[in-house]
Amino acid sequence: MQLDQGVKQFLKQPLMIIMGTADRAGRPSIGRAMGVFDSEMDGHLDPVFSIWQWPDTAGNIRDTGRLAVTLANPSSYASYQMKGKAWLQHAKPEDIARSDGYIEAIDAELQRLGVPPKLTLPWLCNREPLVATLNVSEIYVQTPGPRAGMAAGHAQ
Amino acid sequence: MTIRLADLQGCFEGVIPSIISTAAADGTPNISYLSHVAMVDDSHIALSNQFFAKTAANIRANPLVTLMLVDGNDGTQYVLDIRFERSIDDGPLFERIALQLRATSAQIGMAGIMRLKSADIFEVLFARRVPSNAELESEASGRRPANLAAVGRVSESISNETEASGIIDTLLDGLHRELGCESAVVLLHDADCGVLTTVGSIGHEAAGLGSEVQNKDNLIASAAAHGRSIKISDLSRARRFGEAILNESRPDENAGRSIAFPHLSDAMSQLAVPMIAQGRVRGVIFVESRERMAFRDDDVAAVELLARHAASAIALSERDADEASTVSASVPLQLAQSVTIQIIHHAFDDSIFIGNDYVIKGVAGRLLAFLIDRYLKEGRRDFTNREIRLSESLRLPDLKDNLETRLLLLRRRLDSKPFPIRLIHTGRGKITLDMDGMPAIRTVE
Repeated sequence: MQLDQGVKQFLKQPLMIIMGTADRAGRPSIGRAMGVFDSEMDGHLDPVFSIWQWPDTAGNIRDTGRLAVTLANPSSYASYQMKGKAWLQHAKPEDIARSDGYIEAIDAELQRLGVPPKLTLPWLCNREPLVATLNVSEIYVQTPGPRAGMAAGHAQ
Repeated sequence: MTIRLADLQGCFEGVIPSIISTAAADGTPNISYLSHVAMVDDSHIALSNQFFAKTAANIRANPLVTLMLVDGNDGTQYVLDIRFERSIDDGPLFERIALQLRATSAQIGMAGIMRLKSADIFEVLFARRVPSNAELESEASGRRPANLAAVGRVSESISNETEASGIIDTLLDGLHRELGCESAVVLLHDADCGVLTTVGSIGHEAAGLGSEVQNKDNLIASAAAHGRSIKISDLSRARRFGEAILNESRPDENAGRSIAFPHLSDAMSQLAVPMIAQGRVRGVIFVESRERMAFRDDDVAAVELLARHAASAIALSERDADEASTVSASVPLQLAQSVTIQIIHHAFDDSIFIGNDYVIKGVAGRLLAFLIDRYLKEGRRDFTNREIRLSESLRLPDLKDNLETRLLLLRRRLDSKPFPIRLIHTGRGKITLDMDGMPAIRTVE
């Protein structure tokens, strides 16, 4: 599935990113991504996350190959959820650099919104980073309001 | 280390959004933010059921759910393995969650949009702390609990007061000095018209005496309507929505016939506690702080203790004030005959203007018009609560329980500006009208 321009523009904003996975027994798991970037492949995204902080997320992707990612603008609450097959890759130096840049940008954005740095410190961690490449097959609007839950994005 | 839900108090304040992850029957994961999580007991939590349809469907298909809570004090993240048990749509727990959600929604400008239809109860199977680079000591754990000795001192001071004015002032002073509340407001409830009126405040630039709260969706009115304490622990979201919190702007008193409510424009935490005596809500204590999460559960309990004590003391003082039946004639007033005090009484809302200055409206306005009228017709300046209450011409609602506080409000409002008319408290249940000229009152429809 290709991402339309609206979604691509949305992804350029400073976003909070959460990752949902489940193990083979159906027990869900939660993680935070430290940046999500355009993959080299069309219709794919590369969220970066810390295996040190979120080992279950890594284990579940390895076991099931499934991932859900919700991206939310902390200022406007505009949100999308993307789902699809996923696989893990080691983070390359450029991935780490982009993730470091993301942490700097989202930290500044949260501070601008009145969230003190002492609160964000435990969340903004990319220690032992991995890339979970997501082949996006479903996109849903999650912005609170009448369009919540509706499918978004379409083939171009 | 085993983590108990009771240790996670800072996660249940609704400051940082929680996260819920579910899985469909085929194993497809789903993840979203969640507005409200409440602790039920040591092993259960309740989630406001405002899920997206997919989350709700997944929970019914697969009761295994994972939740992430964030401590609003220090950002520490906790992951909870939970299992769906049941839904509730009434009862005390449901009401508690619905009330808090309503208040929170109103603060972010979404009153009426986020109505709670049901809450889901989950058993907590396991809770663990997410590792973090920031191994900081929690500020919450370092904070001292509310000082019971200080509560005792304030309570003792209230016990020594016999009249509403002294009780309210002592309460406000105690909240400010002993309990460290940056600002506090006492509002009394008028059951007839559903309005809460400010009768005392501390810690503000303008006292706001006589200002009214009516909007049923705000924190203060909700606390009164439901007889429960409500707090907001982080108002920064409300600021982001750009919503006015109470009366953000100072209205023109004379044009709008309304007085600005006293509040901190940069408050981060707010708490409204009902003042209940004999099972009835008599008023509300409203306290604010510039700190996030300033009011923990033990702070709320401390204010609640004082609120109940003060409400009972005020109710008792009303009864005592009503017993005074005779007046001693005051010294004849040497009015400056050459000075006329022009007073306009607007009958439709009982608002009173002295010259061009708005004074007050409602029952308090009617009381002032009555006292001036008696003076003009009978030359009397001294009155008792008892005779005022029994006067048929006043068309008063049942003032048996709050006449004293109405008169207190009127007296304080007249003292708050250099008005040429004042009410002097001359003894329990007794007042005297004091004027700097000859009143001329005109009633307009």
